[in-house]
Amino acid sequence: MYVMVCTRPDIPHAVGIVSRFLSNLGKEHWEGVKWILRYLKSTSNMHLYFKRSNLTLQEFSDADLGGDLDGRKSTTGYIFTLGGTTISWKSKLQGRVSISTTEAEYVAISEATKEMIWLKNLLKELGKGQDESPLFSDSQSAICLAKNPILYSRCKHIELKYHFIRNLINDK
Amino acid sequence: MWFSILLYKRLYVKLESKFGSEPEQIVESLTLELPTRRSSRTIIAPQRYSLSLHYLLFTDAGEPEHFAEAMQEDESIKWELAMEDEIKSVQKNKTWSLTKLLEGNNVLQNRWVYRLKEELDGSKQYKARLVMKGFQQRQGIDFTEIFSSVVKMTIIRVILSIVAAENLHLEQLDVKTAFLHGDLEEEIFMAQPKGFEVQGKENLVCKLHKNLYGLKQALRQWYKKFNEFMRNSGFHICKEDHCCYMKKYVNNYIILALYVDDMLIVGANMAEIDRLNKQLSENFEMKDLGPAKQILGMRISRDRYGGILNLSQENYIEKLLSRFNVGNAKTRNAPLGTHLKFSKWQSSQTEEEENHMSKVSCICSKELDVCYGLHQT
Repeated sequence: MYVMVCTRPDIPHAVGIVSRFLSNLGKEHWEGVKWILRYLKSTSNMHLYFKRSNLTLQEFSDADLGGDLDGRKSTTGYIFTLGGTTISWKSKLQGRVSISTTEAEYVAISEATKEMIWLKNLLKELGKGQDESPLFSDSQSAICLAKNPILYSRCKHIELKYHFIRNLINDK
Repeated sequence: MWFSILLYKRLYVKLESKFGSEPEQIVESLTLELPTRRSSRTIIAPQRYSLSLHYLLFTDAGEPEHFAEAMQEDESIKWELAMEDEIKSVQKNKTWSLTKLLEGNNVLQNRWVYRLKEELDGSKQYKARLVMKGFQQRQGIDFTEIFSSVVKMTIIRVILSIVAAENLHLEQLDVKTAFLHGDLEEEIFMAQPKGFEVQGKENLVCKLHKNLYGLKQALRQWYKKFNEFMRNSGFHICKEDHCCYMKKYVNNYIILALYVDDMLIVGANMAEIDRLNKQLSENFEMKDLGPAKQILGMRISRDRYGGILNLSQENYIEKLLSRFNVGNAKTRNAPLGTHLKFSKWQSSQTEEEENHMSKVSCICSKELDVCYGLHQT
């Protein structure tokens, strides 16, 4: 867990999946834990690598659809890089069930945006203000949804709070 | 009365029939004190239950667990000296004064914590520390607010990437006895430390003026004091994280990140950093660790000419793996196999299974705690 928080953006998804069953661990879950440990063994010399760069902030967000077999909720994942080095990451089960990939990705984007606002403010305060920090998503439909304030028939139910990303895009 | 006479008579008759002549002597001794059925052997507790041996078995590396045990050991003189040292430094700090206890005041207990530290040259250092039992504190009476000054991991990484990008100096400082610097706002009473009760004033208690280890508000008070100092010396706090400070100069700047008592200082101008160091050590007892090599268990290695900075946790991971005995296990190339799909119905169903798995996970979490503890020290 501590390894995941500090220097290893590659395992939070795996750790997160296994951690959901910590209250009542089964044999298969334990297999998963062992798998992670074995993976760590083969990659223990991996580290974060900082190099000379121009300090631009980039964000990447992604989501799966119904990866959690019990509640059929989706999982958000995002990664922030500053000058090419990963500085912030997260893998989190979404609080709601998504009907389409578009919706799951859309929620992931808005989650990532929250972190982005915080990071941007921080960098601004440290004198490294960012004019433009691109946010990448692998879902064209989610990107379109964020850009166009149109109410599609299949996206009627998406909650209001996730639409604040539209607001931010308009502000730019 | 009549009953005892009756008993006496009966015995007399019985004994007379048994022994014939001269039964009176025997009867007398019988009625006066009946001997209990007990062996005459003097009882000595087996040595394996003796206190000193008992503790020796349980404490490793010869560190006593509490006061009584420290006094029992062969090296009690050294522990005593260590405790005297601690008391002296606390008294020099004017941490408490003796007062009479008023009714309704809560008196907190304390204890001694002993540590053996091995120096690089192999000699041993005996350390004793007076610690409050903070769990006896009640909210609203003995403490109102708590806070811990821990900078976010993301901020550390942001700072490191700035360092690498602009090839800045990265210095690390450590505050000695950080908690003892804070002043107390609440009235807190403490029992006199064991072994150092003032003669003739045993019924008095200590009223605390300064922080001691173990108090719940210790961290907050320390942060408050540090914060005040930083403000006075012209730094401003980041709104995004209150443990990150910054000061701008004409064409450069200094950033300071605080993690309880460890701090990272980043800046382009070494003279400015030195000046800040000097100011800090005038106010607090500081230890200059030079260029940062390790923070929070993460190793920092730099190549300033190449402009490269690495942040690795290899040692920590290796320690973790050896705890779980993964040494000879097969390695994997992905964090999790794609065939591994987890669900609730894979959880333990029967009680027996649950017991077994809880043991496994218990060991697992305990080990994790140990690892975390190791890392913290």
